[in-house]
Amino acid sequence: MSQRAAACKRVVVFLPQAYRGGTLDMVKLLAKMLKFGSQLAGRNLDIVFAYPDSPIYSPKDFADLYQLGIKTRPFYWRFVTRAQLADVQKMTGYSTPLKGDRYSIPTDDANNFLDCDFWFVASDRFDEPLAPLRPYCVFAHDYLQRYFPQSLGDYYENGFIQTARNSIAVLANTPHTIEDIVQYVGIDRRKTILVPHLAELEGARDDMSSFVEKGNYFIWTTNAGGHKNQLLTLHALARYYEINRGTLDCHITGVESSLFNPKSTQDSEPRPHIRAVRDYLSERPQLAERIVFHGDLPYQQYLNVISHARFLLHNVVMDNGTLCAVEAAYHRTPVLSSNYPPMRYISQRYGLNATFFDPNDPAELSEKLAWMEANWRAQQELLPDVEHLEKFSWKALAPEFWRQISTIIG
Amino acid sequence: MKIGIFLAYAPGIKMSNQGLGRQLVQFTAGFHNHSGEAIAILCPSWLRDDVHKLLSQGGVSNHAYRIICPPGGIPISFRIQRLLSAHLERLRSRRTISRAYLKLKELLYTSIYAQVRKLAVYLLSTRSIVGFSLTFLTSLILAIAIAPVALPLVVVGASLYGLARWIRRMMRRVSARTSSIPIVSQLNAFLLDARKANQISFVQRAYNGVYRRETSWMVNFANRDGTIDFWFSPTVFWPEFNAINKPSALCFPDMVLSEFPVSFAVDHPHTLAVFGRCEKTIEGGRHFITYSDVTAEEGLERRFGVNKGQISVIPHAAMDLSHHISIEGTLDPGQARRRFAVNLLEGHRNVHWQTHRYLSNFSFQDTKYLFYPSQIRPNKNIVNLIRGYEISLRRKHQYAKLILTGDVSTNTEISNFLRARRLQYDIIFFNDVPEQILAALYHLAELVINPTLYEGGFPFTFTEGLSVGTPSIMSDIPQVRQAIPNELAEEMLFDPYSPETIANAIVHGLTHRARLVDLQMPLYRKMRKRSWSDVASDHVATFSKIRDGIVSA
Repeated sequence: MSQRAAACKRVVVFLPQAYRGGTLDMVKLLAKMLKFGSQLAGRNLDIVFAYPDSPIYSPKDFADLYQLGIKTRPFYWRFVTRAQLADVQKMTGYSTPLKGDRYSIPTDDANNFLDCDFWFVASDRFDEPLAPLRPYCVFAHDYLQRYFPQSLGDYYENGFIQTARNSIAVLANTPHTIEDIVQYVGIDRRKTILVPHLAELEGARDDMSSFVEKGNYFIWTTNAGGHKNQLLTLHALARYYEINRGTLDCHITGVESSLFNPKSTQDSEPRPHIRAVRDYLSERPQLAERIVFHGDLPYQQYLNVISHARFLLHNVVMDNGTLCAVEAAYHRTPVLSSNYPPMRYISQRYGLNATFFDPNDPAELSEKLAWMEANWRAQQELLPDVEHLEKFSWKALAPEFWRQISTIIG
Repeated sequence: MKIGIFLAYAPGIKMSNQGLGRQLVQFTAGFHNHSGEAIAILCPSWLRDDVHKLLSQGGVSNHAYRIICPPGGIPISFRIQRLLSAHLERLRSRRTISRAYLKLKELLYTSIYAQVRKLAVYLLSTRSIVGFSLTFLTSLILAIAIAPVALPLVVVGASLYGLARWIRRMMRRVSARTSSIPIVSQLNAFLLDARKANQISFVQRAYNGVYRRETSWMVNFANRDGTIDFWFSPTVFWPEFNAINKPSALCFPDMVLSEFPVSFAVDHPHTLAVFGRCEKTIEGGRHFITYSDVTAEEGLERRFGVNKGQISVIPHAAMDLSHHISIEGTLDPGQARRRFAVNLLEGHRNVHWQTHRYLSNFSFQDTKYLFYPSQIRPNKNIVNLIRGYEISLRRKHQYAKLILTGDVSTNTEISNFLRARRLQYDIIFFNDVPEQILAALYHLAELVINPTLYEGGFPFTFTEGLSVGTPSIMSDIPQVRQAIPNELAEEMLFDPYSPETIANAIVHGLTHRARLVDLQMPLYRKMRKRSWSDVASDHVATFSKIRDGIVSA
């Protein structure tokens, strides 16, 4: 072991794909928690944040990491055959059984992160499995394809699955994903770690005021993903206005959510589910009139819209849960969510007292929308206070996170 | 009483794959234990080895039976057919390179390639111009001299290799096709319906002739032999049995064909011929034994007009698979049994799924699953089960896989359905597994689920599961109702025609597993009081009554 390694371990946190926004923030938080958590435990790991070499990043994006003493390093993926990888493994002295034909090696034009003792991979989304050249753990977000097969169709996600199976541990932040790791990916339960679910509300705090007058609308946070159940939600909205005599407007926000606007000029050949929503709204101008498309708002504006909403609507078939619900609660906006395990977990963990509905039943949703319209104030009373929610910040949870991760980093 | 069992399966039927095969083990052992006499098993010559293998694998002592076949061994034509089938089977499963090919490769390597390489090394490393020139020239002359012989050899060799590969590919195709023919169609390949006699090919006629000669010998033997008091046929496939003029009885397990005529007649048209033979057997049958009142009344009486007095109902006994996975002498036998069972499944994985992209390194250590051991037949209701399972997984979020044991490769409808719904990673097929793996699969399952629409008696899956500690949920059909008390029925039965109800039953079963074990175990213990020896004893008692004319015939 080198002198550096003897003094403190070097851990690299990989952001495998060139993401920005929430995903980039989340992976940075993992690096920060490792750094901060290890410092509090007297270990002070040497953390390297590895990001895809892409012009979309600038040093400003990583300013918060530099403040904590985390180094950054750009990289790109190189693909090797099994035989090539076996040769590399022989030379590194770290070998594992190899099942695949091709593997991905993170390349930094230096020694390809072999100066790091441990690899922390922030996502399992690999086209070809990660080459096991160092012991590594991988963070799994969700296995949507198990519940919403259209998300992958015929594609077999060998890269995802083998990356997880070759790791020494797979991390997830909801019990639901842990179950999928065991049952779907096929990994021993002892190799899984349920890490604390966190909600970083630092940026939301500045805009907080003790009292916000609510507008005459509810907010529906969605995006262009097919699993977000948009068409069924519109069926429910139509019922809400026509049968339940609902009076609140529906404001929509989220990445690419403006694609659903029938007047949208973006994307002349939309995906079938987007086309179906546009057609549905075009055929129902009265319904379309009640909907306001905000598109993807800057964070502060998004918080402003969410804080003035009477309640938040979240409707997906499956995902790993949404933090929008916590942000809404932070701004005294109660939550109406489809009933699925990660959202039940989030509601319980943060004490959101969310109201649930069956995502396959538009009639139930329209009833629940009407119920929320009548009862949003009572639901607001059931929301947790701000102090409670701030207990789930990355700084507060870093010691617990470190306790769990230190068992595998050693 | 000396008992003889009559079997007349056509060549090519794998008896180990058939439920009747497993029952033959129980019948033989039971009759022997009860009478103390060796049971005579009268069968065609091509079944001798299979029957012996089946009985010895089932733990039946060699002294408990004697196999009687036509003399002279298996007809040569069937031997050739058997060799061909075995070769096709090997082709189907073989992934490794043949030994002969490896030997040839080694010979070519040592005799030619290694010598050429030595020569090249010498030419590249020599410092002597004379040596280099002489060697080079000699090699060139030698190459030119042997070229007229060597070049055609290479061309012929390459062509033969290509031809061999093409033949092998063709045979694999044939093999894949033949493997998809279900048992009833295989039977029909030899025993075509007389109504379609004009469509029978010469080869098929010839095979039918061989089959008839073999079974005629068997019938003549039974009629000549004075040592056997009673003849028993475990099924109604063979009308030849009725030509035995000694006291006899036929077992009528079920008549799936007439319960699911559309599926069988449309999807497997050859089954009509099998049905015709069964009909003929029943028409000429003198006495019948069924496993349940439902089969006796609905099947034999109503459908085939058999007189009630000709039917005896003898229910099954409970199954017990626990001996396959029991581990003694450890501090924690439960944990040891679980580990052993996981090892068995992972051993199966390592042998059968080495190249399977998803399963080759899938860990079964903590896998939760529902289990339905069954062949894929119309009455087994597999599609509704899959639909119900999908709802339980995708809409009710139950974290469990579904493991089945049928051969899905024979059913493109189901394979396509699974792929279209992207369920092939959550529904796994352990096809044609030995009984020990079956016991391990039962033991590790969260629930045994049996959605069957029709069975001859109370399904074995209930007792097989509980014998290794796993409770069941089952379809609400008369054959099940008959055995399950009302208060338990509410907890464990479901409407097999409704996927939504199947999904609800899965949710209920998974969330109340311990309760189901508590509720079902007393019933299992009660069922266990009836042993296979009791079943044999009931059979023998019935045989005696028939022989003595107490029961009408």
